[in-house]
Amino acid sequence: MTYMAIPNIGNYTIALATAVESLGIKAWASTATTPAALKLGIDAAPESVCLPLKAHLGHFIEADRAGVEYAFMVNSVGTCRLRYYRHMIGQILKDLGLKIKIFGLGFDGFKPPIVRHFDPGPITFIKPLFHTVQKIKAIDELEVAAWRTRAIEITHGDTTQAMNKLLVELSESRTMAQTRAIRKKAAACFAAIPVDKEKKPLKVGLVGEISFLRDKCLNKNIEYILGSQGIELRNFFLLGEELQNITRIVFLNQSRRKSLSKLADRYLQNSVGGHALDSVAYSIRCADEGYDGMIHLCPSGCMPEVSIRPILKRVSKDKDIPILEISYDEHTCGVGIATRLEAFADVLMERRKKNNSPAQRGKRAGHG
Amino acid sequence: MGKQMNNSCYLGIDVGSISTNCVVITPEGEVLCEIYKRGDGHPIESVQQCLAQLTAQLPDRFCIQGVCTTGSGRILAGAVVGADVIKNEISAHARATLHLYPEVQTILEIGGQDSKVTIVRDGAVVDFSMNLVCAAGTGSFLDSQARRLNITIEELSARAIMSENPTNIAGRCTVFAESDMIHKQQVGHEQKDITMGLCHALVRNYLSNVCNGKEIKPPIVFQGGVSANKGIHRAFKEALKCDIIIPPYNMVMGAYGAAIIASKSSIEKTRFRGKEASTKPIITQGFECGDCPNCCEIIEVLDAAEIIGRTGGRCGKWEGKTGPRESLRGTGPRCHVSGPSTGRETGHEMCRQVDDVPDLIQIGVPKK
Amino acid sequence: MIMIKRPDESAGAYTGAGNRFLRNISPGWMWKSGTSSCSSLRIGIPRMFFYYIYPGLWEAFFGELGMKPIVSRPSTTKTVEKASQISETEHCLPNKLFDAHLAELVGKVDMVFVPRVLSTIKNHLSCPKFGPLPDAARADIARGTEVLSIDIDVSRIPLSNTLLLLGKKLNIQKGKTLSAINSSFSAMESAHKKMARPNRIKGSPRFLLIGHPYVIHDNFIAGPILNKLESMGVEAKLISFADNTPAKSYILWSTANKIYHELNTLSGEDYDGVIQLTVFNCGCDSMMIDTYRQLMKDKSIPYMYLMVDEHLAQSGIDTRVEAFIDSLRWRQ
Repeated sequence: MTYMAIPNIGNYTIALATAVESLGIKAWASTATTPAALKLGIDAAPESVCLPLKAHLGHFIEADRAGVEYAFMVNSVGTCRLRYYRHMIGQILKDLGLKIKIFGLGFDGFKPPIVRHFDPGPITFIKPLFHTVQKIKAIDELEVAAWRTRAIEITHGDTTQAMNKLLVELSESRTMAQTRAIRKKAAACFAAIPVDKEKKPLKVGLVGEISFLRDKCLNKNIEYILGSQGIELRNFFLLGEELQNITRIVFLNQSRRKSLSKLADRYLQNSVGGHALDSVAYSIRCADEGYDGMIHLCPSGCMPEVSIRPILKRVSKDKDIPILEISYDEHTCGVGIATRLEAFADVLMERRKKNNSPAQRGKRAGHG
Repeated sequence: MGKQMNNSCYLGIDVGSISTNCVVITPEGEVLCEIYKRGDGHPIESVQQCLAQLTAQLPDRFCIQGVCTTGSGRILAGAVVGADVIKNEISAHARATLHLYPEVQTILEIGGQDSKVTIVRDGAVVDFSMNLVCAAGTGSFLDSQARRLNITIEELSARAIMSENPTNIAGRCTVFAESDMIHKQQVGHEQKDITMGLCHALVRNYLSNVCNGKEIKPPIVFQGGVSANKGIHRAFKEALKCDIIIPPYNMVMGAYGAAIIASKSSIEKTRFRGKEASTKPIITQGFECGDCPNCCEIIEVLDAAEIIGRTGGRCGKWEGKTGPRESLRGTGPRCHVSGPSTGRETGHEMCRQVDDVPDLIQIGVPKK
Repeated sequence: MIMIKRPDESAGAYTGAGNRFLRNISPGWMWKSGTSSCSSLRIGIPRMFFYYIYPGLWEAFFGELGMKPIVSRPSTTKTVEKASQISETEHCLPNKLFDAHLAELVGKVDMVFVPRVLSTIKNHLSCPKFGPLPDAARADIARGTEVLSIDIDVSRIPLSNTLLLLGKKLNIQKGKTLSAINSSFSAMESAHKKMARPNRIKGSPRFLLIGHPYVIHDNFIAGPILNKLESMGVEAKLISFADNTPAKSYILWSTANKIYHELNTLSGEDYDGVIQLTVFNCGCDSMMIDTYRQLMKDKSIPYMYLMVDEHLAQSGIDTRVEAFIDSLRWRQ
């Protein structure tokens, strides 16, 4: 069997793995960068490049060691460093003398080189792609359900366990019918978790650089830490939504980005690059929707995300919503992140108490 | 009843990276005894030694009604002594300061490895920030420079305040500062001026890294291990151009805050293990779970042969459980999960617990 | 007289106008009078980024339009001190310096000029940090001061048309803008020539200094290094960005593309060595330095890179530059 290493984008890797099957080969990946892979990447990459690159690089080195022959890296268009990831990773892998061959999505003539190389038949090609879309939708649903349930579950860990079970089933699902069954089952699984319905959890939005929103190893399992403190999350990177967005751009020539630009217009009039516009726009949206706080994640020195920080600070002041900025680098320690998150939760709780006091409420009503 | 009330007291323990501190207070917040102990990387022994000292100092009629642990080693310490509350150090420090100075607006805190700034408005924490990776704004910066100058940290403090014409020492991080300091030494600057220059460098780094973008308003309270250093106190006064309050118990504020949190959290029956926690030898042992391919490392805290707590593991089935190992085996989810379990070297034992990647699903593992 | 309608602070300092280009000019301000009325208007130009990307252009352009351009003073240690106080910790050094330059102008001028430089070469892009530059200025440092901005996107609109648009937004007659564009372009040309540093010493070692234009021409970042090279009797030629024709390569950042192209066509006879000047936290350079180094290694041209951060002491620069040049001399 031929294997291809694919970059990990959190749980969506499960869906991407199905897409790889459309080429008639199998995927090699994990739903998070392993700490060992990260270490490999840190050792091999130049010191000052950004952390996601190191994570991807380490992942591919690990793949090569496991005997994987091919690798795939997404291409990005735009101004940020992500655009050069494939080129740079390819170069470093070559310099290290590794045999793994790296593909991108770029077109060369009519067919992308990756399709030309494996040359799958048209029928085998289409079906897994539809299956992939279905799996992405399923994972979107799981994620959304988990954020809510994790914040109000009575025994910590229940949601994560249920989620894991479903994800494993999903990764083993071979047919569309199986996936559909899992999607149906998922709702029941989450409903079966004993929850405290009376609890009004703090609501926090998570924005920032996508690998940090998705990769548990890189973000030090932030979704779990927040959830176990009784915070309801909204992670603003759902691949299903992104896909819809891309479809709209291609077929309808209208994008979600336009609505984001409109939302952020007062603060930011350019899409910057990466997901910087999303960070600003969603922070504004969350503030308007009454979220308790925002968390902005990015790797240390991230070009687009760091450059919008002054704008986020302004949004935070104008809209009166606390924004916790966390930047990660290779030395970031989980305990440090946990401490910050706990303290942030304390701040939000105090704010909520204060804002709910009668005097404050009157004041707010007056403003409104 | 009345007698018991008079003799009840609360214990706060702060296990930091450099020191372990204990404070015992009355329900009214009056300090009965305080212990500051510089640790040497053995958090359990340090906690036990502190407890032993405390039992010696505290009159017998006092009875501990509640215990709260804080600091980076709070979870392990909590398992050792049997803590009722485990709280992050940012909140603990703020609590202590607010108790002593209800009107405080800014709390500066510099410890051995961590430095923080907490912004307080109207008696509530509204914002905080913590140093990222750089040690330039922490006590370890001074420690290493004092070692380089071949003087103790106390001597450094005493010399710094005598300086009339401080040397300007550049330095983003310890390494840069050291090379510049050596250069200044060789050019022939006086040692007292160099020491004060170091203090200014630390404060400058702290203000530009940790306090960046924060509104520093008086009254300002400066606490943490480094607040004992008069040179730093002077440097802060000169940099911020206002008076800086150094509270009583400045070295043990975290523990004091923890004690206050314990006294305020209406504990019915404490889980404190009493004197025995300090006398009996407590050891930790690690073992690999092996129930699933995750192979998590579980740390067991043992008092003689009895297991008094467990930490570690991704699925949560070991967390805090005390029963025999075999009775817990096989419980929890069994997923086909794999991934290396090595946490990175972080200096804190507890880092492993959150640093690890939980529930990582590996897809397609080819044979070599 | 100019009639200036002050923006209503409480309503938010920047309510965007409908038109895509109109909104790039500071909203809330209106010039209700004729062309000559801008004469007393002081416009602040921070000496960073676009000032060096289009050297001499802005002073000449605004000067011709009858405004009074005020450029912030060259960066010094004082600027850096200010920068580390007010700017975001994780910004790259030029961005921090930019904030300090902006802060210097705020209060002394009627409006500051911060264009959004999206691309300077056809089909190429600028560093992503330029994208939110005017917005970040409005949000933080230049809050309360008017920020005049325009999108410079050479991929879509030629620079002259952008300037024409800028003139239109300032309510200036087209003829006057056109003549201002002409004279400002020639001013830029001569500035580019001046910046390239003419040959001074015959027979001395020749070095090519590469880096972003706003890095190699900044007084704080490059000044000490240029002085050191000069005092050692070494001739340093600064890479020129005057030519705007793109070279085909996988690199789409305009500066990096230009440098890559320059190094690609470089021959060992032209220069004795290449010195790359980079700054701490520069994202573009972090991706490119290895490529440059490899390129120079293949051509066996000596290459050194110097990373400057806000704390780099003169002694550190001296040691590195001396060692590099000595090693070359011994090789000869």
